[in-house]
Amino acid sequence: MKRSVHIVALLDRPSPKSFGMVPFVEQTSDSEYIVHGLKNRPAMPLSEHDLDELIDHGSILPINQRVEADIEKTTVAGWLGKDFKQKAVAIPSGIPEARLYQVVDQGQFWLADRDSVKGAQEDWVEKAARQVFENGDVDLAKLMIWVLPDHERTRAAIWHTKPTDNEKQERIAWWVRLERDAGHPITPAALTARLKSIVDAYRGGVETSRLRRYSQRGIGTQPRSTSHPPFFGG
Amino acid sequence: MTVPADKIRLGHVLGKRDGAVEADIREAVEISNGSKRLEPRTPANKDVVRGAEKILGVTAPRPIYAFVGNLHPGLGSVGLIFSRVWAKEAIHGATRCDSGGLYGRIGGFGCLSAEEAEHALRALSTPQTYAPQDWEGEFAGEMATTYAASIDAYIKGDTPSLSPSGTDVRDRCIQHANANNTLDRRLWTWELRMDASPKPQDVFAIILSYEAFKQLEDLSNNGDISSLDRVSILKGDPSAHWLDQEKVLAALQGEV
Repeated sequence: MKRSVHIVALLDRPSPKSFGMVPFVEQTSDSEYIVHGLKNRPAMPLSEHDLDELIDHGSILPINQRVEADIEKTTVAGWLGKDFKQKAVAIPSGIPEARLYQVVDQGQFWLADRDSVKGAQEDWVEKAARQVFENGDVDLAKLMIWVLPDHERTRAAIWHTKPTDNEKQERIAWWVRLERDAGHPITPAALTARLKSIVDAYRGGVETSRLRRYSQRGIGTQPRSTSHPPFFGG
Repeated sequence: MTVPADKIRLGHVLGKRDGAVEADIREAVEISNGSKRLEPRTPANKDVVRGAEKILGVTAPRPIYAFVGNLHPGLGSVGLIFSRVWAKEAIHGATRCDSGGLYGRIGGFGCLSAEEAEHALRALSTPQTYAPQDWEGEFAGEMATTYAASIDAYIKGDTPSLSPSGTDVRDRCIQHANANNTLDRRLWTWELRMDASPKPQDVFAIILSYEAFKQLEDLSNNGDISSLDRVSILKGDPSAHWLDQEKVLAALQGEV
C-alpha cells in the first residue's frame, strides 16, 4: 500500500554521469532513519550520527523529497544523472518520466522494483552496444561504463572501439584480473574470444534479429532477455 | 568453518571531506601502489574523537584507525583491507570497541554516564590493561571465549555475550542498544590505532560500491590509474551493501 515516504538521502553518492540504482535513506521520525534497497541488509537502521558523518564526508547524496510510494524489500532508487541524460539525448526507455524527482541539479531519481531498473539499464546497454558495433561510436561505448560497466556488451563495445591491439589487450588484462578477483577466473584468450563473438554476432545480424524480437515483447512488462545471459558477474 | 583469530585482516574506509568519490578511489589506488601515504581520517565529530584520544594518551600526529575484521557499512563507498603486518609494525593502541562512540556515548553507549564511559574507555583499551603489542593475544583470547564455536561469527557481526557475570560494560550497552533498536557492531568490534601509514604490500584489497566501481572503470579505461596487479579489487553488487558482502567478509576473515 502506498504511503508518504520522506527520503533524505541516496546512498552510494551516484554521479551525474551515471544511470543506475542505489539504496535510499528514509527518515521515519525526528532522529530515526532506515536504508532501503540493500538485499543483504533489508530495512537497515542508520543512526543520525552515521548519517551526519556520511553527509559530512560526501559519501551519500543528501536530498529532501516526500514521495507517495509502496516500499517493498526490493524497492530501490533508480538514478538518472544529468550528464548521462544530456549525452544519451533521450530518457532511456523503462524509466517512468512521471515519477522522476529532481535532486538539486545533479540528476533525477525514481523509486521502483530492482528488477525493473535493471531491465531498463540492460535494455539501454543492448541498444547502445548495437549502435557501437554498427558505427564504432567511441563516446557511446564510454558512456556504457556509466550504466553497467561489467556487462559483457559494455566490455565488447569498449574492446571493439580500442584503436590498437595493444590497447585491446590492455583492457582484456584488466577485465581478466577483475573476474579473477570476483571468483570467476578466465583466460585472456577465452575472454577475447567471447567479446569477439559478441561483436561478430551483432555484425552478422543474429543479435539484430534477437533484439527485434526482444523489443517487440515490450520493456518493463516482460522479463529481461535471456538470449545472452550475462557471462560475467554483475 | 573455524577461522583462526590470527588470520583476520584489518579494515579502513576512506572518506574525503570534499565529497568526491573519485578522490577516494584515486587515494585507494595511490596507497596501494605506494605513491601516497594513508593519512588519518578527519572525524566528523571532532570533539568526541579528540576527547577519546586525550584519554587514550594520543598526541599529535593523530593515528590512523582500523577495525579488526570489519568495514563498517555506515562509513562510505571505498574501503581498504590490510594485512595484520601493518599493525605489527605500526600499532599505537587498541580498544575493544569504537573508542569515539564509547567516549561520546553514541547509540548503545548512551546508557553510560560520562564518568562510566571514561572509565570504560580506559578499561577496554591499551595501555591500561595490556601493552599495544599484545593486542593480538588479547583479541584471540576474547574470540575464544566469546565465539567458542567459530570466529566467523565475529566477522559476520553476530552479537556476542562478553561476560556471563555481566562485568563487561559492553554487554550492558548491547542490551541498551537492543532495547532501543540501535544495535551496531561497533559496540564490540575491535579498533586499532596505527601511528604510521601501511606499506603498499600491506594492502590486500580495495572495496568499491557499484557506483564507485563505475568511476574506477572509467579512470582505468582512460589510462588514469596505474597497475594494481598485487591488490584484489572487490566491487559491490548494486543491490547489496558493498562493505558487507560474502566476498568482502571472506577477505576480512583471511580465507582468501
